[in-house]
Amino acid sequence: MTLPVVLDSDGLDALCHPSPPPAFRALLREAYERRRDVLVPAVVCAEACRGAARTRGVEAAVARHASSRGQLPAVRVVITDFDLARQVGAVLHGAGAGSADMVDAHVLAVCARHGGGLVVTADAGDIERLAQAVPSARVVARPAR
Amino acid sequence: MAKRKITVTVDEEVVEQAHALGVGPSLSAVVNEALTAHIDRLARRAALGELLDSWDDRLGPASAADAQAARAAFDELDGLTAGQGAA
Repeated sequence: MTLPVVLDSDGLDALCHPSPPPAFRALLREAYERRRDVLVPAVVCAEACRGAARTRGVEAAVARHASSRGQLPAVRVVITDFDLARQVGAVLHGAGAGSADMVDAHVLAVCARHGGGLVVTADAGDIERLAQAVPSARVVARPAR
Repeated sequence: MAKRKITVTVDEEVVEQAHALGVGPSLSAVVNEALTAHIDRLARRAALGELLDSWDDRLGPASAADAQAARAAFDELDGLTAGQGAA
């Protein structure tokens, strides 16, 4: 199984930035070389879409592609359907966490669906704590910068 | 969506197993679904490659240290090093 890259807010912010940090660009380059999917939970977009300017940045980042050459956006937005919501609940319950960890729990739920993932996050400690609830998933956390 | 008839060549054992599992009547749908998923990934990878190239053109490539750190992160993720994931 090829494990994906999953963007938390830190990763999505880096993707939206006009000059993404070198560490983030290196992570995505490695993801490209290893043919990994790049995913972002929709709820992470909700966290980032605050204010018109930031919202436009997110819209551009997740939609950027050349459709004339058959491309689709490089980043796949993962919608929260019932199955994912159930997994989110399981992560929160398993980690003894509350709703304050809702966004990070979505990130872990997306990882769990794929058997794991490389999470780009500024909150590695939170991700590691929640990852205890999904021991079958291999999760690695790295900052974007 | 409009359909186009094409000829594909697949492993005989896979076809036999598909028929044994009752997939036969919907084999086209299964092939269509698998091809759609594969093309989706290719199309997204192409966009990612162009995005990375545009960043490199404008900002220069990431440093060797950043590239090494990225490789190490994926090696850890893939279980190629002694790291134990987020634990």
